[in-house]
Amino acid sequence: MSKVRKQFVIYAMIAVFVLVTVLLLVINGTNFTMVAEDADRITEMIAMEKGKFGEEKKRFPGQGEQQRNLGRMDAMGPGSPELAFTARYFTFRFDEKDQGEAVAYHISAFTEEEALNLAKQLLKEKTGWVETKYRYRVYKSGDFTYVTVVDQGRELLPSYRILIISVFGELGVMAVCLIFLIYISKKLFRPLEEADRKQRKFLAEAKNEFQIPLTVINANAELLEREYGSGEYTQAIHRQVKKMTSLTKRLDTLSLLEDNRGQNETCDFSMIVAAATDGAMTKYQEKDLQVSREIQPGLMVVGDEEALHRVVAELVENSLRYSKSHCSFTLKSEEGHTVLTASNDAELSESNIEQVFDRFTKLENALPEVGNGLGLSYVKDIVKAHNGRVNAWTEKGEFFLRITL
Amino acid sequence: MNVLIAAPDRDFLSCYQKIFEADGHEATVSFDGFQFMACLREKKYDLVLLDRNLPRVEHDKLMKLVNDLKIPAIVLQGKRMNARLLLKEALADSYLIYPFEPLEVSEHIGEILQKRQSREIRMVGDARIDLGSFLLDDKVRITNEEINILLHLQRFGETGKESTGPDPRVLPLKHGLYYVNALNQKLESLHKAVRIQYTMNEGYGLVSV
Repeated sequence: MSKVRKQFVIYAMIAVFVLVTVLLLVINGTNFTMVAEDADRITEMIAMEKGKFGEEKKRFPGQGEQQRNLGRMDAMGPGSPELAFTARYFTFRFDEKDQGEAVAYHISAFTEEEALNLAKQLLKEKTGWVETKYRYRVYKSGDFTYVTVVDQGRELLPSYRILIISVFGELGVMAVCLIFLIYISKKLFRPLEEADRKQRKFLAEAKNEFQIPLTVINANAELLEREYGSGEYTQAIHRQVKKMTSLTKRLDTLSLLEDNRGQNETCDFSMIVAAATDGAMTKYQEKDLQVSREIQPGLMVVGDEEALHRVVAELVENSLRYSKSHCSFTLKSEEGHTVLTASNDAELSESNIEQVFDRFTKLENALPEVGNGLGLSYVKDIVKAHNGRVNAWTEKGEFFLRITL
Repeated sequence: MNVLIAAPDRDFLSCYQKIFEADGHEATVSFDGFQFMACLREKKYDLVLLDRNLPRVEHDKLMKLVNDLKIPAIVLQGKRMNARLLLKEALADSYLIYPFEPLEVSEHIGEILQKRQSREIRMVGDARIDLGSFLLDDKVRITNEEINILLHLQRFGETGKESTGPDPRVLPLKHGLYYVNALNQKLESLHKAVRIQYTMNEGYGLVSV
């Protein structure tokens, strides 16, 4: 799977995961909240009856068929006419001296003593949950403080079931989405990947197609000069051939990535950087450029040595081309990564930073006769092929380029 | 000098034939493998310029024939040079990468023929270079560029950094890194003690391992 396609699938899955999780949280959150509200209604109803459902409450007006004909939702939960018969609860009443006596005891999960002890513990509270399924309420009536505890276990069970089902449902949805995305992205990206592959192949082959004709043009220009002497026209031919030669060498970098895909080895990147900058010292001196280097020795990188060498050579060439008075190269290890930072005092505006890596783009400070705008785009391609990052920015009149491998 | 030029492009053959003849040499051209082999059988040549993609006969077979006849050869190719290529093949005296200028060709030829005709034997560390046949220890072929690197490092490495003359840190050719890697592997395969090593801030030099 190509990188772009992989990224698309990952981002789409993250979006689906977030959406489904939010939905799941909303549904289950609402569900549990409603269960708690029902529990509060029940404890409130019991509180209104001073701690128990009286006998008269066990008979609703119109008992029988009329009750069965109530709207479905009205007849369920706290509104159910059967509540007085089905509620499992206990209520204790405490006087000023915290002496407690049972008002109602309709539960088997606690002995009367356990229930009394629990009620005593809850005297200072107001309302809440005990052991995640017992809803309690503490209220005053006259000189007494009442503590009612209602068992909501049966009401909570469906909610827990819904939660578990929704979690598994989410996992199922994610799995289906993943399969769907992999399938659909293959169809979506095939034309893009094909176009990209063709572009790369064309650029790589274009290099081959230019090579011999350029050699022949050069040789014929030489023959002309030998026969008729050097002149304006043959000099122009030589200049243009030189330009085209430079372009084919940059296109060569692209074919390098294609040819050497998978041929990785452990390379001494410190040595590559040192050798490349060393090799250019004479040229820096000729151009009167101050070069500073800080190279941490022994930094190894797994990759294509030739490609990495091209990256550094390109940075060196750029510095020779665009530095006004000085440039610098720093290579060090940072948090397990090898980081190369090249900087120079080339004039570059913030707005142009994004474009430095575009193919065939030369910015406003570029020398018109030199280069074709391909170099840094290939630096980016090579670094990305090595799972690295490239960043460019300007700061206080300096242009920085940072490669992290 | 008798030169045999073999390439698939007729314009290339035509102009380089004229260049060689203008320089006072005799130049024969061939545009496919069969014609190239026929030319080699008919006449003796001092040098061969052979395009890697000459059609109809495999390049390896043509190079083997050239080597058997002990003719100096320069291979012309579009493929960039790298250590893997140098180690896998190493049958030519030198490789020229398209596009190149006529001056580059004559410089290459001049260097190769000068070495070949000298028939000198040079020692670099414990490695023996036969300049007459471009062989290392009489076993492994090396290219003109690799010989230049070894001789350069031998000369300037011993005296350390010179204030005049070529910068000893700089190898005498572009992309020397690939040749250095190939050379070190060849020296290792021959169990030689001498190696080329890069030292930070000092450059390349010969060391004993």
